[in-house]
Amino acid sequence: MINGQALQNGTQLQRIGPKIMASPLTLPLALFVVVLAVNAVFQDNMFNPRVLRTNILTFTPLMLVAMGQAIIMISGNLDLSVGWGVSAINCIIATYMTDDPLTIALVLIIALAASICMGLVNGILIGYFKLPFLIATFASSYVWLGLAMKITPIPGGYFPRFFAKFFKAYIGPFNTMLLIVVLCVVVWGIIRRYRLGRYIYAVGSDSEAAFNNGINVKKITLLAFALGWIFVFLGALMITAQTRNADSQIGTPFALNSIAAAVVGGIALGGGRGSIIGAILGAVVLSLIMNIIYFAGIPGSWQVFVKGMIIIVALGATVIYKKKYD
Amino acid sequence: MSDRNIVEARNLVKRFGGVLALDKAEFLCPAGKIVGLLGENGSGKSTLSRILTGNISPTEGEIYYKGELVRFHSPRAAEDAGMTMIYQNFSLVPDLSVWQNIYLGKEPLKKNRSMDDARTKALVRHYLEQLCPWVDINMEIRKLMPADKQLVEIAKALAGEPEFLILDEPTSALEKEQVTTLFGLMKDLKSTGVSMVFISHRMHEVEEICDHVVVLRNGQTAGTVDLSDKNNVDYDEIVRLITGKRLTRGNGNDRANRSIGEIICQVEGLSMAPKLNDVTLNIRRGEIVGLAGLQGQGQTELMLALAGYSRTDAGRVVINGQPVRLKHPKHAIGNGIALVPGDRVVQGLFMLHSVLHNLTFPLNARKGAPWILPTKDLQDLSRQLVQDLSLKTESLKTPVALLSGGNAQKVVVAKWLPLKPRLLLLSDPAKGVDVQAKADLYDLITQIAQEGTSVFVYASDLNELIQACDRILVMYEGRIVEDLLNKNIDEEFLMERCLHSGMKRVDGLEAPISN
Repeated sequence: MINGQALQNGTQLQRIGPKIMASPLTLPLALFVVVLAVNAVFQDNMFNPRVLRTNILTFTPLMLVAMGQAIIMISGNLDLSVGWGVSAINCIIATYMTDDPLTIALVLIIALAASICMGLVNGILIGYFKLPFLIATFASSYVWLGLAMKITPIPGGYFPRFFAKFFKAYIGPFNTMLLIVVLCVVVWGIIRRYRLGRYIYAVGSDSEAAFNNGINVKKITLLAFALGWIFVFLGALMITAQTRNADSQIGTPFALNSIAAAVVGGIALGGGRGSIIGAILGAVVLSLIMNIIYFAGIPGSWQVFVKGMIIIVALGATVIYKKKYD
Repeated sequence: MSDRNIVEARNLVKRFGGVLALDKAEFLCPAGKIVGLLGENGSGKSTLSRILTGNISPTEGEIYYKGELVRFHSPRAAEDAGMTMIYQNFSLVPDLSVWQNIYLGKEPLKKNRSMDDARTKALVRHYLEQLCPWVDINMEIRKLMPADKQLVEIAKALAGEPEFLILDEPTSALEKEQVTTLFGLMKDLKSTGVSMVFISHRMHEVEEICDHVVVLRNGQTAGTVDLSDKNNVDYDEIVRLITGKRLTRGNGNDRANRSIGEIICQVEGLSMAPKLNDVTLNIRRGEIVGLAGLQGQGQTELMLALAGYSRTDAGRVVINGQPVRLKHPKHAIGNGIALVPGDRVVQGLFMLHSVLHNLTFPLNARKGAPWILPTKDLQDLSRQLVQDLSLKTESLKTPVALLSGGNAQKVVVAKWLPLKPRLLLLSDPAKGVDVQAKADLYDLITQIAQEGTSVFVYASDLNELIQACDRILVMYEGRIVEDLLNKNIDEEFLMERCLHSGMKRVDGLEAPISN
């Protein structure tokens, strides 16, 4: 006789196991733990609060830009221009910043507005003019670079010390920058409780089906870009606070790094899936990899090559994992 | 306008660029009735329903809803007025869960305008209860089986509490049992005053559930046929309205004229976890063997395995006495096995390429084909095929994406003919194909068999198999459980065999099949 009840209950692990494996955050978390462990091996004092803080400071800009990229990716697009966008915002902030609180506020507001405009431009090109996102954001990236180079032909600029100190203020290993990241996660969590959040996922998953449900796909695309670029602004602000300098080249690595970070973090390239925490984890994993390469003493000429190989492995793991557990 | 009719559409014209999809079509739906909408692919059925539900606007014409002239600019506007359409999987978002999809775009809100997920879930559970209570409302749509997806689409439409509902081919993905549930639900809705339009190619379903049918042909309303007397349905009249001529069917019993030869294909113990479980069968030269069974018993997987698409775990296939290795489609093709796949759009055709290219591709792709294409010969061959198959196409250069479903399917079959295959595999070839094209297709299959090719065909519609096949195999849970000679079999008997096999399995005791 088959004991239906016993079959039903099974063992706890048998029922939860598959659920854990299929959760979108499992792989990023696993990669995070692995990379953290390897890092700990090569960097002896890694868990020292001061060292932790410095690491967090260095990682934060990418975390924020990756979050912005994630939102845009979830809505079904990709933004190659966030890199030089960061450059442009960095140049705006550090070139016009002074010690005067009024100026500081004004510069920040203008920089934020500029950032949102950049997002809106991309959003309009892609959502309303139906340009493929690869072409549109590739083109706009040069516009942002041009803007950055016009404002700051040679590196220079100014960022008030006390302001920078504010961002680096800390308790133990936690500093203001980390707090800002946490606040961003909370804000996104709130957005997800509203229709905008769900519609961004819907449009990214299947824009035609979303349209058939009465969702204004163009508007959602636009809003996703605008929202994403608010995060990009924050990332640019953070890196400006650290370097206290204006440099049109500073944003260059962010474009592809943010995409890689998002993908490693479980954000689907096709859109409609992924968690913002994944993007943060992905950014940390990527940053730790670069850390490892430095501390493992890999010769300078090989560093970029090794970084590439490791990223291939991380991305490959993502793809294989998806095939098996999806 | 008469308010006995909930919907009246008059003088509807719709032009898509140069193509006239609707040419002064008319459509009436009396309140509280179920009206069937029939017509060949390309007759304007989809266009008409999309106009009625606000997906597209008519170029000319008027629509009256509950006696008033209306013009809907979006599907949402039509829905808010009480007119809803059940799509074939065009409105479910794959990465969102079932409950998130049902109220997508019209989510219940809390006072602070955030989404009220708890209330949404409760409502969803209520609507799913009648139709598909086994579905996990937290599961993402993309993880559902096609039949469950269709049921969720239906539940979604019902959740909007429509007064007028259009169902576009709602049964093609469903099991017979689920169709019965759906029809029960439709009858319940009818009794509460909901009016419905039922679009389908399955004549027996239309006859069962509809009060009358409206037939479209070439964008115009060809006529109406009353179905209130279920014992006296003028089937031939319906077909005449659809096709414009009497149904041309090949000689019903060509089987008598065909000679069936020796066994050319033997399958022994074919297994492939999880879907194939020790499949054993044989096929003779010139024979048409049908594959029946409930959906999802491994039929598609068997076809793919025989065509070289899958790595099987165990078993062997013997062709003309020689065991063959079928690890790649090229092995199958090399052994004379050709597959007409289940999803012609994705797997069977180069949609953007011409009829000529598609028809001649297998010929050009085979081993030893000349490097420089003999264009003239290929054109002659294609012209011959088009003629032999009565393929309706403007020219050989037309992209196959522009052909109607039935004609496109003819291309998928015809392209193998120049290779003179030994065994033609067909995986539900007439799905979604209109009446005349379906008849043409099976005539073609019979003709192919007459010329010595063996045919192995899986069809979800049992009537197709009964009409065409010499023998019918029943598949259940990955193995062949019955091998029936097609003498005096009717649909009820065959269906009972498909279900009965399920019953026998449980330790020899009769027990109901639980899902």
